[in-house]
Amino acid sequence: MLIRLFIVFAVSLLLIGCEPEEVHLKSGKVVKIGVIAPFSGPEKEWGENGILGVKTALELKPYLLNGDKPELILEDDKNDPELTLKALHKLATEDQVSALLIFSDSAAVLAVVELAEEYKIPILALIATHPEISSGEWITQFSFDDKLQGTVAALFVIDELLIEHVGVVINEDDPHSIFLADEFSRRFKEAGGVIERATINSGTTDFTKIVRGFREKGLEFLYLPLDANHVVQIEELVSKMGWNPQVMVSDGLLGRIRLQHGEKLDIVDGMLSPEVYSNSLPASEYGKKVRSTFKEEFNQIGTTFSGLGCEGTSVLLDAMDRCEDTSDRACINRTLRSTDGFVGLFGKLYIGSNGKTERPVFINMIKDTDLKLVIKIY
Amino acid sequence: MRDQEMSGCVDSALYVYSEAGELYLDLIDQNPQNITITPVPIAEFRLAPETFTEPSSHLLISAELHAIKEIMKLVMGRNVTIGLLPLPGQRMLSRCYAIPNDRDEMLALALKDDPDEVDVVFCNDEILLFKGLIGRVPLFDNLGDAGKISIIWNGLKRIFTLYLLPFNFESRGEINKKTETAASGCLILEDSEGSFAPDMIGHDCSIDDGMVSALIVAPFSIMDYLKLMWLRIRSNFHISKIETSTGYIKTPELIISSDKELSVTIDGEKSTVTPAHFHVKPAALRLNHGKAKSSRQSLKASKSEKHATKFLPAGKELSKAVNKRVPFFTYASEERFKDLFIALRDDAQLDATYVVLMILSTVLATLGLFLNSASVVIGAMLLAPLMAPIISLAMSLLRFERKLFKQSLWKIFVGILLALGTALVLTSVSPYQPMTAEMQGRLSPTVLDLIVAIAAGIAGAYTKSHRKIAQSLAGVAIAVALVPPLAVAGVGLGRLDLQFFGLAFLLFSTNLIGIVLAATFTFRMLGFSPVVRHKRGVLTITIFFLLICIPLSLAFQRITERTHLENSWKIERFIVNGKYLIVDGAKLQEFKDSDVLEVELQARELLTRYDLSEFRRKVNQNFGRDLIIRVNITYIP
Repeated sequence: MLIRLFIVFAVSLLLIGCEPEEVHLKSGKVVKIGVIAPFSGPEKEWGENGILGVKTALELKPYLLNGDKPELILEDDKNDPELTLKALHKLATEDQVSALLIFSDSAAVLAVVELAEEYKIPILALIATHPEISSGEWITQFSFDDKLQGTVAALFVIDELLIEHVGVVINEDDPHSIFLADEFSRRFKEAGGVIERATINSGTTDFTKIVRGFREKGLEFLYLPLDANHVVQIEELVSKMGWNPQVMVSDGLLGRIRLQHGEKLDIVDGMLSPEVYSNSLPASEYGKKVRSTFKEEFNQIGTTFSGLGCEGTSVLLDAMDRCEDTSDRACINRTLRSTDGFVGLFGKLYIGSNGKTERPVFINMIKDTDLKLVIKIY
Repeated sequence: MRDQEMSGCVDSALYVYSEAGELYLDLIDQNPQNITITPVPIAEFRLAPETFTEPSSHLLISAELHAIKEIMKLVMGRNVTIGLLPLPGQRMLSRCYAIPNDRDEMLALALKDDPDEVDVVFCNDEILLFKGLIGRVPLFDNLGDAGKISIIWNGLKRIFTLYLLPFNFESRGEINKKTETAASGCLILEDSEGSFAPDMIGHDCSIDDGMVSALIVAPFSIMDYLKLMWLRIRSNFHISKIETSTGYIKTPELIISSDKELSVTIDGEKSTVTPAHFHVKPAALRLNHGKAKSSRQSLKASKSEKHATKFLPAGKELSKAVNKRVPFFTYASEERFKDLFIALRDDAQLDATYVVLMILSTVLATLGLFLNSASVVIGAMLLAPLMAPIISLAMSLLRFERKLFKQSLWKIFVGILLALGTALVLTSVSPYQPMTAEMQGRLSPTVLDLIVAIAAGIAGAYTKSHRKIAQSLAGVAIAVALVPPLAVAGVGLGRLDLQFFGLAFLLFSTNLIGIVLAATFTFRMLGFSPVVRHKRGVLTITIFFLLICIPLSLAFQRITERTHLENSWKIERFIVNGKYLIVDGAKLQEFKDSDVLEVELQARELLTRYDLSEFRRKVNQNFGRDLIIRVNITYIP
């Protein structure tokens, strides 16, 4: 009798546990979402990997709550600001998309700030980190901005690692690099540190003088807010010289090296990298679903690009769900900028009316092609 | 030369052989001793043995076992001496009488004129030369030098097919005793050298002791069986070291019967059925064997009778054991552990000593808590008399003994009231009521506290069932889990703070039931389950368990969340208004209805109220709960 009761109880629990999945009635209406990304050119991997994340989010949520079906319209900008402008113009006017996701860098996004204001189209900039991109009302920055990144990096080095003399290399052709280096230097000096700066440009190939100069000054820490190619070249030279300073790079470096310089992965081992994610953290329920769907659908390497693509798309769809008319650009922009505690891959996200996403910064150490968490900064 | 060869040998002999024994005819014909040996086929001998034998004649026998036994029967009482020539394959026969394998040596021994008188054991009028078997005797029927892997493999193979059969043993001799029991099998030994069983009984059987020895195997449970297997593997034990599972009878006459008709295997052949009447005809034959005279004279086998059956199922235990598969856990009737149960009943009695010690230990514990002195609290634990009624309660739950249950529960209840009352009075009259770390530790129990309680419960039950171990040691362990939280609960009452009282009392209750359940389970593991399991007893334990699961799971969930949160704070940092804050540690505590997060912060820059407000906003935003935040800031120069 007891056993029977127990079985009935257990079965009841199972039935209660098996809640029916959300069922949406299809409205037959399509909501267009534009995606601007470099699908060709030197940075094509950003777009190719990022769009997989976007598709994963749509796989998890193929219909909005009112039954409207989100549809993607892709535009390739080769990460070139001029092409980004053209793509935005086409998507906003010809395709009449309701919202936009941009996978291009800060320079490309900064180029479209004015046009976004003119067309009044909500844009979610997924990887661009320049603080000025959210200066208008229509572009929302999904990653942390460079001001925060530079501050975090500087204070971590001086307050946590207790290092007070640091070398910084700046690419004067790259506004992202200039901003990060400036912010890092400013905060570091304010805290009482000493900075040794060295400037390069995009065409620089010989770093011997810079590296030797740093070494002679007895530095033990280098801050390199540079692209993957430059970081790899400097690190190779440093290793060749038998020098072993701690190196910190800028966000997304491991993802870029994985996609663009897979054979050089061992070179960046041991570097510190501020990131929006970390491999050491337990994923949220949403994160677990994303991981299994991504693996099942694409069986490819997930990087920061695909992670941000998926998380950003989910946040955008969530904002659309909160609008009566899912194609109402003004409403989408408003709800997007009032995202409150959306549970992302590893924790909660908030987007304020200033268009900045509040999310923790993870300082990771690159170890065996993974991002091992060192600290988490709110 | 001939004289030399013939010295010590018989003058003449008769070779009685079966068809298989023809292989020795050449050896007999050309025997090195040149003795006149007359071959006689067994069929001829059987027809008229008296025509072949005359007083003092010597027989050489080589035949199958049953034929040898037949001839032995025929010549018994005729003053005939015997020499045996075992056939190839008759290893047990050779081993039993220490007959060499070499043909010449075998013949030399058989022809010796130096016979010994040996006993003959009869089972239902059939001769038993070395061993008989009724039922199954796993672990005992293999060779003494069997490999450990072989013992384990064969032992495990039988583990789930162990049944206990009904047996009655009646010994007749100087000791006349009847034993009704249940056993998986019984091994009857005459002189079964080489197998493991004689090792176990200390070689207390021989061919000339005038006795028949019976080794009875009755594992109460699979646990007992495994224990037996462990001892068997170690191979260095004696029956006196085994507390359960086996019995041993040594007697001149033994009647083994059963409610069922059980077949009896004699010397490896199924020969008869129960009831089996074993009796010994002392010195019935005169036989040449190879056992050395010196060792024979100092044979270990004693000629005294034995009837060691107290570790076999008896009385009420039989209803549980007979014709049933052996259960996993051991059980026992009260008679088996009479002393223990008397002690437990005494322990459950409320007496003045208990009251005094309980009050004194609580006084010490409360003062230790106020003084934040771990050593004074430890002193209180040494005095606390809580172990005895708790262990009695555990046993009463296991065996569903109402009286013991009521007595022990009442004693615990009185102890709780005394402790709460004492702590309450001390707190009320004390002008100094600090909140010390010793108290705070009892308001936020961790999983480790529960593990301490469970370990203490196991230790308590274990020491209670082993008289040699000092019980005070386990008593201290139990007191660790109970007295301080109880005193803290009393302090809470004294401060009129029900939240304070509730948290400490929850820890006490959780630990108490953890200890009782652990002790109950330990007693079950140690074989103290009742013979007849009362459904109501099982139900009571289940209900207790389910009831305690509610606060336990709530507490566990809260503890897990807290531990997770506290651990996660080891890598948390904050940037507030451009200032970098390093979290050195965090502790989550409950205060009234709120969660209080105590954070140790390190900062370089001076933090303003605005900074701390921003810090609180970030914490509450990211940790999903409304926390009261207390910050301790250390400025880094």
